[in-house]
Amino acid sequence: MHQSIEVVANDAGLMELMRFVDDVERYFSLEHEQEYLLRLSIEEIATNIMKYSYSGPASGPIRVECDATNGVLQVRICDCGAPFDPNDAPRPDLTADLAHRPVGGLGLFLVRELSDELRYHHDPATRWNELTIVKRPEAGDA
Amino acid sequence: MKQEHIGDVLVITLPARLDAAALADVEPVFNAIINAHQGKVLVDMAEVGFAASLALRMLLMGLKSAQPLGGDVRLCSLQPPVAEIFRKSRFDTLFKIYPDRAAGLASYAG
Repeated sequence: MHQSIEVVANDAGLMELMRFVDDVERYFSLEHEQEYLLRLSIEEIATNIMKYSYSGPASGPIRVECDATNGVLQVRICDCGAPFDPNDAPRPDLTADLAHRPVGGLGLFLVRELSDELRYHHDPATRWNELTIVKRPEAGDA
Repeated sequence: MKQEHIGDVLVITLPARLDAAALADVEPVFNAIINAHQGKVLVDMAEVGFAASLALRMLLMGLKSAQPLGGDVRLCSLQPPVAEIFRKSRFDTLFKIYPDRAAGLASYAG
């Protein structure tokens, strides 16, 4: 099973992506945890792309591909903005008290925590960034 | 989103899906009613099956605005996947969280 979509990185594009997630949930047989990560990763990563990757006045495309083979969910999120490997991002300080608790970086942290694998690839020739998020089924279900 | 007053506690029931699309509508109203109430708030999350980081930020901002005024924002009835998000982000150390609405209300009565 494979579904893909390409949108412009703006608020309308983000809404399109949310509707795309509804469709993917309908057509794929995913476990609850996979569905949660699917929705979370697309929202958090697309929001980050809009904010940081295309930080200038010009926006650009976001391409999302979802694949479920043998129960393994793979979400690939691509953009051609500034290269950024989420694996290099510092962990947010989760021990700070209320006054000093940062709210930035939390989305990416949660995606990393909930996924089994996070792979980043930047193609210098095409300038596309490609982030692949993998969530395997619970042990014993595969 | 529903709001009701039970005694001096403002109870806010959040909708099922707290994603970017929903929060565009929910967040301004949530902030406004918390700022107007300036007191005890209980957020009932029983219907919330999905919360992204924007939702955590909204709740955190609510707590930060309520506490200096002598109020508080407490939470109840988190579904397991949302409770997991709170654990992983350690937001469970920032909020007082109760298993159900009755326990949440009782915490304010004491």
